[in-house]
Amino acid sequence: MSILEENKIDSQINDDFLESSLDEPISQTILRDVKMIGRDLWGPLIVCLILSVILSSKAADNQTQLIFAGVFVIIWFGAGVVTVNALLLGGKVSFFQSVCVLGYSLFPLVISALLCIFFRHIIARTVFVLVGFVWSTIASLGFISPLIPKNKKTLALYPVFLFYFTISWLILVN
Amino acid sequence: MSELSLENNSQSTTSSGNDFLDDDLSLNKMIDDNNQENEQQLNNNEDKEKNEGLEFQNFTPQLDLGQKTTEIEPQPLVEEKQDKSPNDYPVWSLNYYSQYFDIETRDVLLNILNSINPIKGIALEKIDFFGPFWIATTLIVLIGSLGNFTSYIKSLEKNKDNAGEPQFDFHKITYASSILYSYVFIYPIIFWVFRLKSFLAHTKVKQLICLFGYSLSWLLPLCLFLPFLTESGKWVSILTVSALTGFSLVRTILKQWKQAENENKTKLTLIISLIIFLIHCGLGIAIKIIFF
Repeated sequence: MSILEENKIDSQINDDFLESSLDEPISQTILRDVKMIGRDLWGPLIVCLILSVILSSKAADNQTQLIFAGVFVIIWFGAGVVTVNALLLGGKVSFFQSVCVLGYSLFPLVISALLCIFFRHIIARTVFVLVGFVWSTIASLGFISPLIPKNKKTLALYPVFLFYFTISWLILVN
Repeated sequence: MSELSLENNSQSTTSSGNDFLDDDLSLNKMIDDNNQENEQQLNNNEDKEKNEGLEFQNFTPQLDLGQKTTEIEPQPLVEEKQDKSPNDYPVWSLNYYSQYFDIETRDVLLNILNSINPIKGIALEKIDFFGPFWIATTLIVLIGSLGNFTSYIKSLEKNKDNAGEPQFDFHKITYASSILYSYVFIYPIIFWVFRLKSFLAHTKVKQLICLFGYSLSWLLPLCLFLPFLTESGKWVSILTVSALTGFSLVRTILKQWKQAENENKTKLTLIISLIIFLIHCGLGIAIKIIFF
């Protein structure tokens, strides 16, 4: 088959999709998205859950639920805001990809949090949290940094730093 | 055709096992698919917006839209943003708000440095939302963490033999965020809505938001030192910084008044300036009382 004929058939198939029902391609798109995203966001979700459980288990009794919900919100909202910030500054990332990377980069901090449960001494905890913080930050910086125009790099990277700093502080103080 | 190819890709990714290597490869495929999809979506948006103004696809330049003919061909992501100004996008799309983030590192730093100037008023380099939002957020983080640190120090002073761990009060973060975000975003909007037919009539909302946001910027270094000062030291420093930034804020607004040359409304001007100053100092005092 010549290329022209192939293209004609392809565009016909497209038209059929659009003609049959307007909802059809959209639902297919959404399903495809959910399949892709659902798989990709499991990791960050697990990380987030572990972190929330660890941090809320050590809280004062009247604040357990608040801290659990709060950590959840901070992680997802924080990752979302950092991503949106990078996008608005002209970065070329896809939203879910960036949220995913930020979520996965939390993993070193989860390790720090787990270690902090067992070693309660303040200096040891500071060291663990510091190492986790630096590791997580460098991991996500490596991802986001090349995608931002040069004159706005600090503006886009500072929120990442702030995000991990907040979470590190929560782990340290708990 | 692109729909079919994307579907094939998603099938291959879901059928791959939990092997780590496979996940890596499928992740790359998904990244490519996402990028492809983004480009597609942007092209779709472009088509939709053209069809809003036109009745049929036209390859000659239209007078009212002022778009170039080259836009009709699908273009890669980067050039797309340069051709269209952010105002062309609908309000609910992300690209509309990129106009408020059109700022460089240098501009933000200059804005922060200029935000305390009781003599000449705040002279902002560029109006943006980046500064106000992230200054407020940083303040929340600092206040939340250092506020808890301060209560820990206080509890140490109270019982000298306290071997306990810091009691972490998460409420501090929630209170701090509601206070600060409303000060930076909601308060200017309310202010702007009620600005009356005064000299402020020509001020835009975004200028006010920017102004109030940056006026908070000097509280940041202050917060770093607060836990380590004595009680009177805390009060003195907070009041000083609040007064200085409050003065700068008022001065900026008064400058606009002089430009508008509205001389018969002196009383109103004074009242408005006083209100702004008091609310600003009130914020500083509230921060001191609640958190430190």
